[in-house]
Amino acid sequence: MLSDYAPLVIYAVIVVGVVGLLITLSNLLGPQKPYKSKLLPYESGIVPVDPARKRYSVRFYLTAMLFIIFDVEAVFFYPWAVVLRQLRWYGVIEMLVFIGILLVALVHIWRKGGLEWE
Amino acid sequence: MNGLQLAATAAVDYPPSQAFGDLSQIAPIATLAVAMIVAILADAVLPFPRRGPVVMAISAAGLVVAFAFAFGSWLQGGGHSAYFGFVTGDNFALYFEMLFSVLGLMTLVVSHAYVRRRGLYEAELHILTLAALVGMMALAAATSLVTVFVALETLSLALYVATGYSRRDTTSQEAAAKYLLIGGFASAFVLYGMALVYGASGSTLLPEINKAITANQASNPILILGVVMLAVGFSFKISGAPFHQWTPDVYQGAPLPVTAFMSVGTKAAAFAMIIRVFGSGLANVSTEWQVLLAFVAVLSMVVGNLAAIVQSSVKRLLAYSGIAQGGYMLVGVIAGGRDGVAAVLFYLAAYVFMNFGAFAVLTVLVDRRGEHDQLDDLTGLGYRNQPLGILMTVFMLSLAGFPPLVGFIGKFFLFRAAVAGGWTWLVVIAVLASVISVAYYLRVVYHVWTPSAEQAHLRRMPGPLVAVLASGILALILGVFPTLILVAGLTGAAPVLVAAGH
Amino acid sequence: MILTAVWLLPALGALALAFVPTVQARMVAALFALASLVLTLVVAVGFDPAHHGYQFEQNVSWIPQFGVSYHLGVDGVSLWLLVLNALLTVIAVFATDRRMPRMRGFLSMLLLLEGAMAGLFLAADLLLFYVFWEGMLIPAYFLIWLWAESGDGRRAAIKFILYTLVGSLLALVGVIGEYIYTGARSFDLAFLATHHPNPGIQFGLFFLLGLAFAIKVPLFPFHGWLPDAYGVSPTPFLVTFAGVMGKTGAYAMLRILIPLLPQPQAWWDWNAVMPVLAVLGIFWGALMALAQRDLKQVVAYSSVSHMGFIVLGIFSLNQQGQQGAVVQMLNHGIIIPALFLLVAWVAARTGTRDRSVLKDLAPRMPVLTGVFLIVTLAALGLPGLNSFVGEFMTLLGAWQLQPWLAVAACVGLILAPIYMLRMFQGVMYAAPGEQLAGPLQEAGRNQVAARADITGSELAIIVPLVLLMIFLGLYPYVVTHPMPALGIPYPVPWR
Repeated sequence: MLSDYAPLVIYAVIVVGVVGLLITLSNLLGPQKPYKSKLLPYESGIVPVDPARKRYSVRFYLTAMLFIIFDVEAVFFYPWAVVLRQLRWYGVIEMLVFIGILLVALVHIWRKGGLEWE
Repeated sequence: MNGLQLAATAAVDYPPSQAFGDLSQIAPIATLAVAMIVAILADAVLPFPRRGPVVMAISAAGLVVAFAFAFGSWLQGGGHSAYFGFVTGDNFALYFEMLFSVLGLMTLVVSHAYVRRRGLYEAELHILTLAALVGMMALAAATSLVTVFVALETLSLALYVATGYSRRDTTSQEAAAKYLLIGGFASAFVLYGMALVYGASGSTLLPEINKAITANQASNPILILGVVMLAVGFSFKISGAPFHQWTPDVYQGAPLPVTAFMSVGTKAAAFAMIIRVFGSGLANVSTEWQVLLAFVAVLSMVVGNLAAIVQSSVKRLLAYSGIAQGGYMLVGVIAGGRDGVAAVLFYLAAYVFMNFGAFAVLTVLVDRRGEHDQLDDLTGLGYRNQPLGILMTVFMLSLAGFPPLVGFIGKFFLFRAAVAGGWTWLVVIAVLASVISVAYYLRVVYHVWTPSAEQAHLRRMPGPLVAVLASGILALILGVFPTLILVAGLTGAAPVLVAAGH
Repeated sequence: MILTAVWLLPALGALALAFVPTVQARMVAALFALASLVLTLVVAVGFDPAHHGYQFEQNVSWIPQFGVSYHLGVDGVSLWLLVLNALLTVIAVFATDRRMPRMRGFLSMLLLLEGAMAGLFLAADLLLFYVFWEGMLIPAYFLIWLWAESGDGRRAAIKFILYTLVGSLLALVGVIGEYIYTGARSFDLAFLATHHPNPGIQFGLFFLLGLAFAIKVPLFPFHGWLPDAYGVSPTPFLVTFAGVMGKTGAYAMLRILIPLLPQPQAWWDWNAVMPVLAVLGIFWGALMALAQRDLKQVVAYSSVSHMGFIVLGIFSLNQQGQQGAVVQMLNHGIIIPALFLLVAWVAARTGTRDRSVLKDLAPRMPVLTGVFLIVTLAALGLPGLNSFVGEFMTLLGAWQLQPWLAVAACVGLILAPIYMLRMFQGVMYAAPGEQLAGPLQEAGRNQVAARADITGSELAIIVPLVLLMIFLGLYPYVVTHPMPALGIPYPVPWR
């Protein structure tokens, strides 16, 4: 049983080995001339104005969470789309029920003020 | 030939008759789910003052209909496997569905009175309760590792939120955070264990796992690791020692109706899961998990009972008592067989009434300033409200296992099955542990009947009183006529054993 | 059906008390107690001494899945204990002070206790027996704790309940073990008495079950709870607590240990250990009684000593000894309550129970002294009074088992007059010219007025007991006659 997983282990060893090797080599062989602007965090070329660790309004989290919930639910559409032909009408009905439940959730969030910024 | 290839090659033949047949097997769960969605809509669209009562009515109707569906199917001899073996409507599931319906109704009335008195929103609490109930019922009905996990998360997520329901209360918030973190941790264990068991057996369906795993596979390290992981995760869920540390804090922090509900509901659902997964799916490696569970059982009984003695909060006391009671029930799970499983089913029903009743008594003490769950708050309760004092005494004596109350008969069934299964040493530890337990159960009784300066009569709360009275009467009636539930327990135990090939 | 009524009636009485006003509580309780006494007498009159097996049987399936039945029956052993239980409860209700706090609760607990103990004597099914056995703990616990007349009731109650629970919960394992290991899958006592597990199993089961019974008796060295519990208990409760509940342990030995586990031998033979413990108990109780100053404790330890005789009789494993033990259970159940009542009345009049302080009460309470004398003489086993018969039969049985056991027990019998007469003499009389000492003299004078003799109602309570002592001493045949009508087969048949 365990021997079935041997390729996986070998693969993992190779991955760690190669990546480790590359990083080590680039550190050893490459020229290193650090100065201030080089050590700054890379933010698409824009010069950072203040530290990245600061407090965000909790509303961001709420929005992010709502987004993730609906986003994750949307993942279910992909496998469903692949086998829709085999599932036939039953699949369509199932998905309608599923979307219906999502809609109810959306209505609830909306009415409870979850979508308002203030 | 795995599922993906099958789907790609041929159309799934799923005629409408089968669709309805499958749906009828999960009718109670589906009913509750529909009730929950309707309740969410009602909560969203109705004007504020009417939300609470309407949502409560919808919930109650859903629970009654769910009970009726389950009972109807039960009368017809129980259902069968559905949705390609992922869930089932067998008697085991139906037993729990009926139990959870009753629990849900009791929770509704207690929550209703509680939120009124504390000035909290009402509707959402009922919706969360319904969501948790859906998860609990689905857990009892799940016959695949996938559905087990989904149900487990449904129930857990709803309860995480419900625990933090009292939003201005920091202890409630703390409890919710703690519960979420520990619960997630436990779920990870369960999931990892499931993955390993799947790896060892090649299926997520419990009957298939049972067939794939034969006794000589006991030396398979993947399987054993999986069983250990599952045992650890399950122990978290039933709050068995040494995975119990979250329980007292969460029980204490959560609002009273939530504590009452989850202390019995989660436990019952988790035991359904353990019996289903271990008893039917992994029946052939029972020696392995029996040892693990015996360890957890002994530790739970000893730690739970000893720690309960020094508590000053009744909620914490009952939390530790719940840990110990979980230990007793594990004894029945370990004993296994028809009698063992039936004994656990019986005890769970008994536990629902005893423990819920005790928490419901505390609800009556709630006022706008908050909960009064210290032992000192109970002082003189017997003189301030005599029926309530008597009923609290009944619950404590029943939990302690005194005849003729249901707690005694329940323990008798558990211990009988264990001795018959050759676990006499475990039973001896269990009875010695329950001697310790008497000390703190009687401490509560002591406070109830100690005269106090506070002589004011309590404000009447019809809802909790009804729940308390019903629980108390059931604790007595089921103690005197245990066959009413025992027969149901034996019937409910049968499908699990058939699945396990006994 | 009548047997169900015998135990259910007091329990219903307890329930009924919740609905009557406090002023009428005593009357209602007395009515229920009297009614159940009448019921037991009806049973006693209808009892057929020639019949073998249980009488007035009622056998209904209770938990058929596990072979448990609601099986009641009365036989020669349980018959008079049943009557004693009902009689003492009547006495206890009448002995309850009108000023007793929370009267309704107290009386309903007393009745509940009576019901549980009656059920215990009637049970012909092992699990049913166990249910009543555990059930009687609840009212006893509340009575000790909530109505403690002195001292720390809570502590004594917890001590009592933890002591007894260690035993009785292990006994639950024993009960289940009896069901599993006999292979009988039945809890019926008569059936189990004919299906014995092998001696090794019997050895283990004997320990599990015997410990519970030994603690309840209490047999030396398991008597630790008794002085505390008896010390704080209110007297009316002591009447049934000491009078009947102590007997339940001995009854259980006779009813369960002897017939169900006749050969408990593995590493040693339990049947040989028990009589030795019994004799040690006789000594220990007597010696401790000698050392006590509190009158109540003297009586309590004398009870330990007397219970030793009963256990000795039971484990003499022959007819005389076991029948003697039953007779002695009754005698002890009559004498000990009477002693506790008298001590309580003396204490109520003088304000103290200290033997070293009390002196010379006889001139001020002559009738009480007379009654006290009769009871004292009965307690120390004077021929002509009831205790003599039982002790004689017990010793006869013990002699047949082991002569040296009987001799040792007789030495214990000599100690009884010493502590009993010393107590009586010291309290009631004084040496010529002796005076009460110091400040206690004042206290004694003030509280014991010129004449503070027994009242009419007190006399009415104690006289039935005294009459019974004399009657049973002269005519024990009433008790021994129906005894051979046994409900379950015994290893040693009784003729």
